[in-house]
Amino acid sequence: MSNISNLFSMGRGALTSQSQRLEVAQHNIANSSTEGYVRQRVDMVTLGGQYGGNARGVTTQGPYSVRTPFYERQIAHHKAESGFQGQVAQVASSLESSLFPNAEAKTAVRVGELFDAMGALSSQPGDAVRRRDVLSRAEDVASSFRRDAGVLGREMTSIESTSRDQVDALNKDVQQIAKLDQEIRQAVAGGGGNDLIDERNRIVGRVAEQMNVQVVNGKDGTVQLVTEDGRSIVEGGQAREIKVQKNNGVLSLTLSGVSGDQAIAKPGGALGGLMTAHNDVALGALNDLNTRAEEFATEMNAAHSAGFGTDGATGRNLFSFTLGAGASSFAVDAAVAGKPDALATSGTGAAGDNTALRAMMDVRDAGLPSGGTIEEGIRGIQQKLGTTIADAVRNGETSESSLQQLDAMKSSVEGVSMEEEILNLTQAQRGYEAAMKVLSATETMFDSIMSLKS
Amino acid sequence: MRVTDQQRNMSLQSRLKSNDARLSKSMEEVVSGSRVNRSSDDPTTHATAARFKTQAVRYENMVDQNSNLTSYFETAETAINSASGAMGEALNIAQQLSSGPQTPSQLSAAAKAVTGLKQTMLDAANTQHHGAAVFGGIDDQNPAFDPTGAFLGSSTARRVQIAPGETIEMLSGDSTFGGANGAFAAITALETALTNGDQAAVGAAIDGMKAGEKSLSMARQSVGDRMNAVDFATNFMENAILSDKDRVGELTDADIASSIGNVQGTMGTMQLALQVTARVGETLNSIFKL
Repeated sequence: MSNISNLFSMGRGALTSQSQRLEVAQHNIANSSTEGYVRQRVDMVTLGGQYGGNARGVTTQGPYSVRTPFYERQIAHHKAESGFQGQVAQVASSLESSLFPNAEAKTAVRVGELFDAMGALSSQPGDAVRRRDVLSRAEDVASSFRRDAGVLGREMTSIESTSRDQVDALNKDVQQIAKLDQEIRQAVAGGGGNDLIDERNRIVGRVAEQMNVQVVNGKDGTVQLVTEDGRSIVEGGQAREIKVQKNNGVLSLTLSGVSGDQAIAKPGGALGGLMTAHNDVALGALNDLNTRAEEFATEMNAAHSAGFGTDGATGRNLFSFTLGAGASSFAVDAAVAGKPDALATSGTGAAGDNTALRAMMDVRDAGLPSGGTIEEGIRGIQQKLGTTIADAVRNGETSESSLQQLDAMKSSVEGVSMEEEILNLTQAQRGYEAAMKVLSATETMFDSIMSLKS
Repeated sequence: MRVTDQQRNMSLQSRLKSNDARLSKSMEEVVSGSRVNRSSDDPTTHATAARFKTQAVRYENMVDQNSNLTSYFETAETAINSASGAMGEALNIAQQLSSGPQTPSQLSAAAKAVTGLKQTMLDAANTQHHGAAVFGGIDDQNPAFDPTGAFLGSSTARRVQIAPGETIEMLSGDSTFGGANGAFAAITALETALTNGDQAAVGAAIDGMKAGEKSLSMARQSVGDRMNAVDFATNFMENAILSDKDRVGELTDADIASSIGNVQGTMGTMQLALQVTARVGETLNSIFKL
């Protein structure tokens, strides 16, 4: 009797095990397209050990998710790098097309046109039409500087706004990770939690795109997310708040803490890219533009104020600007604007003299204190921006390529293979049918024995 | 290595994405005819091309200005020729009347002729170019000489740029027509001598006339030299403009044939990638049927 009972027991174990295999295969197939899903598996284990003597049947271990923590950490790092470079390239490209439409540094072109108009005036400095033309070109230069400063200012406002939105979304994700970790800890203690971990890891992936974080996996299933400078964003199911701060026009990210908000030195990721795009690319370009505008105006004013207008007056500036905001405040000086007679062309006071005009024309080829001519300086900003984009695109491509490779390697281990699952399904089905057959045979045997006794 | 469905999808997406980017780039090259459509395409090449373009535009403007300057010098040359011709005729009159017996009426008629020649010279010396006195120096808004031949303009000539870093002086009539040894002083002395019927003074005026004629001749030569300088600068810049434009083309022009080839090749690759994926899908369906 005990042997027949054992046969029943083994049959039940086999049915349960094969049923679980079927269930897991079905779960894998159902989630084959679910983002971030990690395939699960159950292992069939011989009861009593493979070499345990008397046959006792089969049971299962699992289900467990087939995870690759190494790839996950590498992917988090490369996602941050790819996000960083992608964001820098995107913002800088947008800036390039709005600041330099048709690939042209308009302000440099306007400066060239001003000098050309001065050249035309130099042979007849008393010519009223040409004097008006020079003033009109000077107005064009001024409005072009102001336009460029406006474009850069708007771009920085847009970056700041985007950063705040993305930080809001990031804080929600971080909170969600912390909340899920609390659930995961309980679920893992109860032997489950695979799907919760998948969901949490999907969100960790999003966070890694936004910021460079090191993912440290805990034994209880929770994660610790650590910034590059060693501070925890999420730890033990608790999240800290990330904020965008602005000081003296410079954006930074901070992390809340008991001792107040502390700056994150190298945030990395898309948010780090936004900080770099704001502080180094856009603000850097604006600072360069301001410097060039101020130096140009100063040089031109020095020559102009030493000269005389056809009205006989001297000591007037051609351009006015506010120090530190040279480009946005750049204007033709009120003493000269709209007054062709006030344009200083003469160095002696004689109306037909053009030495003051030529002194201004000499500024075109003269090096400014920050290096290069005014036109080279403005085009230098364009070239710097172009180089930033080209570098970011190249680095982004490298990072993206590594990311794709890592994703493929991770997916080759963690992903669902339909062919494999179909075979698992078939195998489990056959196993189930065979176990049923064994049970049926055992029942027949049992019935025969029962009939003998009666 | 296991090959999962996700890998297949990722691989297809990645190939389509990279091919799409290549296709966009190639099509942009075909449409614009340029392989550098923004600084970020090739920052160094773009900067170099921009420098050549700027230089070409600057030279084009200077060539226009030089054309105006050449016209100014041509006007001056014509005026000097006219004045020189008048001086020559006046000198002939002086030489004819300086020797031999001359009647008062002959001297008086000669005086009238010389007055007329002096007026011709005055007209030439007050020639204008675009409303400004050619020989007025920097004071060119009024006539350069008064009716007596006294210089009213400025002895300072205006200096103008004919090429980057290269300037040239325009003209002042003071040294050409004015001054104690100038053409007007000489012809006025002759006119006075003839009007006074002073044959000895007529003879004495001949050296002054010759000096005045020489002064005009030197002025004509000087104008010629300046025109040559302007021509030289203009030729240099015109050649440089062509060379700059060629360089811009060499640097930025797209190889259209190659770009079109890239467009076709990339489109073919994209179609193949889709076909391969479809085949894999069919294989998967066969497994499902099993």
